[in-house]
Amino acid sequence: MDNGSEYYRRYLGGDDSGLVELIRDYKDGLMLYLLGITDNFHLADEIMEETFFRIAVKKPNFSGKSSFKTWLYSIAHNAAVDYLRKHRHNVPLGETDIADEHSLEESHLREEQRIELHRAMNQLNPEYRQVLFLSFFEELSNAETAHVMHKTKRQIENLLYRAKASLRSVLEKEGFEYEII
Amino acid sequence: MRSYKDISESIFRRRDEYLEKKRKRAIIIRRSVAAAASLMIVVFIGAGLFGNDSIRSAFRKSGSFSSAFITEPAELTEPPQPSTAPGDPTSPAVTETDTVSAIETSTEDTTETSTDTVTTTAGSNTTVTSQTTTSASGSTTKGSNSSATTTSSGTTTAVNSPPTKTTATTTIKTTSHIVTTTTHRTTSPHYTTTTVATTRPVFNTTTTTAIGYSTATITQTTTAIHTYTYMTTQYTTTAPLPTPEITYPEYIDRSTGAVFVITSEVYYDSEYIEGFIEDSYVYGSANGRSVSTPVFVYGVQGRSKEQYRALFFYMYDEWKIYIYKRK
Repeated sequence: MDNGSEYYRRYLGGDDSGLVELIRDYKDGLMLYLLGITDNFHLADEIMEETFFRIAVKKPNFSGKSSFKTWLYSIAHNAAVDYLRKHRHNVPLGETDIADEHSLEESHLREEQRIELHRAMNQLNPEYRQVLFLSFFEELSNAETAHVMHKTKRQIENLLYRAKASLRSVLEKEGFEYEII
Repeated sequence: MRSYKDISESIFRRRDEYLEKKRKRAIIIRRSVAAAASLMIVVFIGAGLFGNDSIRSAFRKSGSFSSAFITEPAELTEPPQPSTAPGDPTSPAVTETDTVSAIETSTEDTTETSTDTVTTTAGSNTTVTSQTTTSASGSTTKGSNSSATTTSSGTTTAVNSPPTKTTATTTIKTTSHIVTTTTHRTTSPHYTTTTVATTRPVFNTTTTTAIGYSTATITQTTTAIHTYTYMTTQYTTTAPLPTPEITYPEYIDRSTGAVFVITSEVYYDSEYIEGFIEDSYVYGSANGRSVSTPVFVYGVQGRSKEQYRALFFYMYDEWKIYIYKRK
């Protein structure tokens, strides 16, 4: 599904429809990822738009050293960090439109079990949510996750271990049963 | 939740606004830079204008500028062309004079006798004028007559004796004379090569602008500074020193002034040395010494006897020199 590089190339060539298709394919995943960072639906939406705006205006170079999704999520991560740093003192509290979020989960995650898992992740801290989302829902490798979150691979491994343990405890509290693989 | 089309439209709208804003900002920056540059140029020109003393003084006097300050650009003079031609070969030759003096003795003493007569004329008699001296002495006593003593005076006349005539005789004795010959040595003309190295002239152009009420006068003065470096190489040719041609006086065997004597005694040969002496050694002996023990040996190649005789005379003044020629 990673046709992002092709879309982006079309946009750089002057075809605005490339950016439209890019938004169509990646906006939901970005929203969920940014929702894990900001814990605010509108803020995540704003940062998601800011991410695509940066791509549309500044037209950064995509070298192809990583996957397009990794590159795009890195830009989104930077945009979120910049926004949170700029609005450090007046970050709006979590105002999540439940219907919109559920609609987003259904459109992006599709499977009921994944949706339930994602909702359980909302009780974790933002870093755990990010690393779990990128690893399990976006299916990025540890190296790609490390690239997006600007951490080392070792840090991601540790973070992922603790995130799993935290998620397990949350799921156990909610009565989930899981199998030890 | 917004659809991807809404998001796209929003992004494209923001993009267009951003690009338009960026374009306007670039235009504003460009205009600001141009205006600032123009303002700085005007300030610099004004500062330069008022830095000119003549314009400033004229401005103080008249209160405005006039066309009197309009000057034509300076005419640039052509720099002189470098010359690499040699010096004028027709320059006059340098003449040097070598003077060779030969001391020669005369045959006889030259005696010149002159008689100088010194006449002393007696002066006129002097008349001694008479002189009267009066002296008085005594004392006066009240009630008694005073006495006075008078010394008689007279006239004395002295007569000078007439001077005697004196005759002085001076004898000038000449024992030698000097023959001076002059030869000329001519040297080649001196050739001089002059290389002129010219550098690129430095042009300084000063532009002043005088702004009057209704006229603007731009004065442009261009000054060209030429830098020349002259390198002169002088070649001097020296002609060989010519051999002076000496004309000697007639041979004099004896001189009363010179003490050396050319005798007829010859060490090996009684041949009397006449004329030009060929290559040989000459043995000389001084007074009281055996002629077989020469006190000096001197090469006389190419010398005439007069030459070495003069030389010996110079070296052994007041000695008798015996000269022998070895076979």
